Amino acid sequence: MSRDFPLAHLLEVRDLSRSFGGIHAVEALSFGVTQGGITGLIGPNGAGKTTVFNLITGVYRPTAGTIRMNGFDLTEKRPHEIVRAGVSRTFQNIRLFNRMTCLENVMVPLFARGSSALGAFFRTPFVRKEEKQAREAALAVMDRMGLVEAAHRPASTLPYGLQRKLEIARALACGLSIQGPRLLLLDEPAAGMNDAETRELGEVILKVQKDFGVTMMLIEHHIDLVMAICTHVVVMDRGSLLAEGPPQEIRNDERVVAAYLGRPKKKRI
Amino acid sequence: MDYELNVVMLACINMIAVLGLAVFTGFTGLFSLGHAAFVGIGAYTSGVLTYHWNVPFFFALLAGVAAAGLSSLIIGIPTLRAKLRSDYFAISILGFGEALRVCLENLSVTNGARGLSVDELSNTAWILGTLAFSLLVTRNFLKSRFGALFVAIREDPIAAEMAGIDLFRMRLLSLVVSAGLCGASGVLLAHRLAFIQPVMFTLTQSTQLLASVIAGGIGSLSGPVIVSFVFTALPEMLRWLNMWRLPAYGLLLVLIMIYRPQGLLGYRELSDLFRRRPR
Amino acid sequence: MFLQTLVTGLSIGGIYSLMAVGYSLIFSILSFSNFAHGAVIMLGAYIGLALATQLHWGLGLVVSGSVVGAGLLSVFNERVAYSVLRRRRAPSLFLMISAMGCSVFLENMVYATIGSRFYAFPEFFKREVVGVWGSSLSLLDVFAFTVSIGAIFALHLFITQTKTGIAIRAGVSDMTMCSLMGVNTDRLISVVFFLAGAFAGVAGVFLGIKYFVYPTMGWVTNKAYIAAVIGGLGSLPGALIGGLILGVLETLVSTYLSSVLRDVFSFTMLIALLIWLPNGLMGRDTEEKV
Repeated sequence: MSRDFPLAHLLEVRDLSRSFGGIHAVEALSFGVTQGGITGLIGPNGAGKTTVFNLITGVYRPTAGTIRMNGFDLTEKRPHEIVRAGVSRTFQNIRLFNRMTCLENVMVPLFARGSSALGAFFRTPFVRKEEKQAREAALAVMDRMGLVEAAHRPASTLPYGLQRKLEIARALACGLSIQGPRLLLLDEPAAGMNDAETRELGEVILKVQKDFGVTMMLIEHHIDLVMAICTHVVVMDRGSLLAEGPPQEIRNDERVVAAYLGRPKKKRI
Repeated sequence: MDYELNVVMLACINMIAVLGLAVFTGFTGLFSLGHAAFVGIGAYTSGVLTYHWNVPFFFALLAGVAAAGLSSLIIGIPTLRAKLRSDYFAISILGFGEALRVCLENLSVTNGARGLSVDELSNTAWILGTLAFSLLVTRNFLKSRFGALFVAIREDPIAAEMAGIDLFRMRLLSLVVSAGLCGASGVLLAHRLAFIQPVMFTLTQSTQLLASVIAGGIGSLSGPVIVSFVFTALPEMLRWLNMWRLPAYGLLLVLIMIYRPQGLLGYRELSDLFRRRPR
Repeated sequence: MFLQTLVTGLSIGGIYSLMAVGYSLIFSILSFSNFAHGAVIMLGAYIGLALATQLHWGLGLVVSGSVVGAGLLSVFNERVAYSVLRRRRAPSLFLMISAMGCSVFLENMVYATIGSRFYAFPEFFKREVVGVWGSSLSLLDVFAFTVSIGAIFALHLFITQTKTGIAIRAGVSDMTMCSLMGVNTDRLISVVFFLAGAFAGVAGVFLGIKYFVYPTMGWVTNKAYIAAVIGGLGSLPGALIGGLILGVLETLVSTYLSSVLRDVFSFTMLIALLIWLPNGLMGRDTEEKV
């Protein structure tokens, strides 16, 4: 896809709203994700952060608003089409294919497209070649993530930290066959980790970004991690945008501090 | 000898249908209360072709498989596209089976509820040949990327979708393949028994297919195939058991769910048992 | 003519509603479709039949006996076939398969022991007809309809007004939280199953009186299940409305089109409705949280 004008944002969210039975989970939210950076999405519990990810990836349909990826409208697309547009994700509560091996987990996205069922019935040489390529590509991703040792273990037997890594590897594999920029959404990757583990995860994220050239966006509660690795921060509160800017600015923003520490009593109008 | 051979042949025919349901329920994780309908479609399509038009058996077999596969689209496209809950899907496909029974009972070409007498065309070679071919093709298919995608969908449909899998197309593919296998089984059954009737393809038969798949083990091909053989052959050998066969199926389903949800060979194949390290 | 059809439809719909309530109650608390419910209704009918023909009890006692019998049977069914699974937090598919197994087991046990004979209840109602809105209706239908609606209304009061009812509603919205708050969830679930079984008992007796008692009479409950799904599984008003709608539409189809097409129509309507409204008319959103 060639474009005549330089792209301001890789991902552009405009006036996004979603309500569940009268409750506005996300309301008129607009923000952009710059290509190549790491954008942090923060906010108090229940601010609607995960809902935003679910809207971007097509788990939910927005009630209003648009989502554009690289100039391509994602709003009405089905989840797998969104993945093919270059957006992949991880989940807050890890969702691996537990009974499959780690390698198979990473191969699934690579298998999502390929030759027809007819070839598969007769196991043609072409099908075998296709499988071998997928296997090698998956192993290459796992190698860079330091997961090769675990390749043949069932995913459910991995320790927690490695499961997080495996989920990231699977999300990366989604983008391997895609031309053009890719966006990786991480939903609380450091949930349940201690400080040392969180720091290590931060390094992994930076390495992934460098190695794979993906743009990232992450929801995170460990503010130190966000401040350390993010190039841009979006703050949400009660479904709407509260503030947006570089980490340093956000850290000193009074509204953000207030949202996190409790609101000082405003004068009633 | 003839009697034993006949029992074994019926068991082999049943195995093909169980193979089909294993793909759909065991690997793709969708529950079906109506797969006997696809067996019926295969049986009636081929039966009508050979009875009224003397179509050669091979072409009748192909037509039966194709008809079963295509008819699965009728129920599969609307329900799978809407991503119905698995119990809603189960009741929808049961309704499909009911609709089919009503049609068969009221059409003149199928001779209504009295049933259709066809020629006995499926001999041992046809049955064993079709079984061997079905086993090979299904094994290849599940070993390919499609097998991995089906298992991913069974394990976690949402994560599968987020990994770029077109959930609707893959589930539909799984349904069509499983219906096609059931259709093949129906063709062979019709031309083995030389007689078919609409009541032969109802909920009771669907439940028996399901019992074989569950008892054999979710995510396994060899398990259900072995169990289906035992389930068909055993009651025939032990005639006094016949009356208690259905209660036993029911009880078995409950006991398996409570004590051994993985069934005989859940998530494994017979060949895995002979390997040093299970996968 | 139309009015007659409507009234007949409503009376059938009333019995559908009565049965649909059982599906909805159990679904609301355990999120699975209890396919064994049909077998409980069938056994309820047999219990009623035994009381009526062997002990020569009157209608009131027969219904009460069947209510208690089917209720206990339903609780027993849960204890044996579901409780282990639910404590293990097994996927709802497993519960459904277990329920399917119970249904097949119970139905065929009746076949194997009592036999496939059709039994009729003694005549509790004179074959008398009453006039309703200028159309005639059998006394039984009027009685069945009144009792059905009354029972559902009583259940609604129980659920909304009593302490146990409130505990049930709490369990519906969050079972784990409920047990953390000190509610005995096992007991709660038993109460729910007893209620579902009690309704099955009433429905079984009515069905038996209206038609016959035989092992596969539970097949009618597929209709009740459809009614529950149309109304939205898990919703009591849904079960009522779904039952009435299905009863009326079905009667219209068999009167004006063809009785052969009646069942096909019900299933087609179910599929069409689910595609349009995946949670039925009044069901809550069962979408999984991501």
